[in-house]
Amino acid sequence: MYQTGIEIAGIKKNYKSKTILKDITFQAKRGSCVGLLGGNGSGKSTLLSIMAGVLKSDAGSFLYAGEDLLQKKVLAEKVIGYVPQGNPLMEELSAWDNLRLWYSKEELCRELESGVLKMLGVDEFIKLPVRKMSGGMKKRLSIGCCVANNPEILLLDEPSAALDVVCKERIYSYLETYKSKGGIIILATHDTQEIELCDKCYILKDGRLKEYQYDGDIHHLAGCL
Amino acid sequence: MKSFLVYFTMQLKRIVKIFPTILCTTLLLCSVLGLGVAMLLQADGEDERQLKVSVGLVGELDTYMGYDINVMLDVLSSRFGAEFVSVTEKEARQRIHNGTMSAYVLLPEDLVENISMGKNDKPITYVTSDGKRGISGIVMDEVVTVIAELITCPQSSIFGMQNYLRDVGREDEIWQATEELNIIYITALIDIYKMGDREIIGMANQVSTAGYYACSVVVIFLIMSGLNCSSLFSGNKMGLCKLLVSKGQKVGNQVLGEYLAYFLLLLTFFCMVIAVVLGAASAGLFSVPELGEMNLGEMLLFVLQFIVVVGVISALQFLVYEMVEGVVSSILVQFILAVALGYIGGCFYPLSFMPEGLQLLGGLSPVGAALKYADLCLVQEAAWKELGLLVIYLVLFLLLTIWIRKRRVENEAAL
Repeated sequence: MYQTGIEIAGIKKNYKSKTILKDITFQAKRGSCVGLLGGNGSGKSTLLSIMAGVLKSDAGSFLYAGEDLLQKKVLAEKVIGYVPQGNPLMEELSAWDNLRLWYSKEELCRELESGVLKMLGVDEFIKLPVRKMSGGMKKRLSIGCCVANNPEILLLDEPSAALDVVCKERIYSYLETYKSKGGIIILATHDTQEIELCDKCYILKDGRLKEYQYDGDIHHLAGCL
Repeated sequence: MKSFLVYFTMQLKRIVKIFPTILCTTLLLCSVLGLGVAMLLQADGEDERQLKVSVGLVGELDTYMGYDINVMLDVLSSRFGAEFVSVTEKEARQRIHNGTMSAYVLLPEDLVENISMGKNDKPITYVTSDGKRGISGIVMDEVVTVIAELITCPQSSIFGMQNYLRDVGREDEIWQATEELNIIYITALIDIYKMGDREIIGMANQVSTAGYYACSVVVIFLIMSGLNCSSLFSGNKMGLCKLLVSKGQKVGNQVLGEYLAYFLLLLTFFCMVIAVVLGAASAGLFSVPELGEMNLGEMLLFVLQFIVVVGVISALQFLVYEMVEGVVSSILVQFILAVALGYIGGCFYPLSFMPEGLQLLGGLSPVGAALKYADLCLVQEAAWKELGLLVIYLVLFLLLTIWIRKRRVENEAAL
């Protein structure tokens, strides 16, 4: 196992008599981004859900600093930030109220002034109700909610799907900064722009993971999925 | 615990944010329900007047007996549930066809002669149409029996007395004796309602009619309130649920936090409705005898006991929110469920009006048990059995909601 990273080893998952994941194993170093590529229904979201502790695996481990995060739930809650595909926001409430679910008042003020929320530009629409926000604003706010308490591992499920270029750039910029500070990013994606952020890519197909070197050839990538 | 409280507070905030909308919808619902009840009560009053069904009398009414019948009907007309009209048989049949007459009584041609001969073997015939069977038909049968008794028995005694006086050669006393018997007869008719007292024991579950209506309206209002919050709770965002689980907020805690907030909302509405009901009762707009007999402490206890009903109904509605995705579907399902449960639970008609099987089913249904519990609390009777049933329902609904939420999160995460 990498002493300064994470190791996923032998993760298996069956669901409704269907094998979704077969012996998934990979590693990620600190300050790196690992991309999980795959077609729809290939199991990317399932793998991220297991890593985030939302879903139980049938077998396997998720090692971090010598601890199995699949067993040590309290530690996992602290070190993992999970950005699910759907936005985790309450539409009736403002950005501030949504963030208050995850941050204390002091933390929130600090992060809005000079921290991650400032970097994501959430301070620009802090009083706006979620229902009046654009897709990009919602996604930035979602990431802001999920990275409360500065987690060391960030699991993102298609973070920039259906967003405009400006918004994507803002999110990528944040992710680059997060990486540079030693954070580990696991990214499930279809997006070629997002793939370029990744230091290492894996393709998930038929429940198995295979390393993939993206060289900008989208046709080759499509053929592999 | 801290994160649970924060989540619960957020749910309250969500409710507060859209409270004006919910309040407007609730007021609209209240107005519709209030209007419905007012129309129902007015219809009841009109029904009472309309219940005075028209009955034709066909036969020899121009004889001495006819005179007596007319006297009797004049004296008693305001007391019978029926209005008697002297008509020919053809006219009576025509009126029945037109629907302006419910039935007619055919007095046989030689009824008087038979009675004067001391016989009563010519039956009085009651004629009605098929459509008049049912409860009104049964009532009419009873009315005819009573009329037949009222007509034939006194007439038999008068004719018997006249025959006796003739037989013993005291013919000169006949008219005086007849007059005396007629006076006794008419006096008896006038005093007919002094012959006994009636006691109305109420419609169902030992409560008065007004008490039954009051409890039913509150329960209907509560089950209908589910429509208002469909936009808030139905089709829960799985993104938030998954994130909460990953941060250690278990599905049970999520459901409990949301349910408690919804329960408080429904409790607020319940307090508003109770305030309106009590206000209207104290203003004399209507009277609920059971409430009138309560002191302040008992009234407070009744309101507190009713909270269990609010809890069960809110848990049921919350379960529906969890089961149905989409606001429109949720509103539809909540409405259909409210009407169906209201009907079989006895909110629209007392359960005693229903067939036996439905009575049993209705009594065991959440709304039926809730209504019976509320009725028994209103008359300050012990309702432990119903309370136990309601607590079982409350726990069952919450467990089912948690189970469904877990399944949904798992499904979403695994696909």
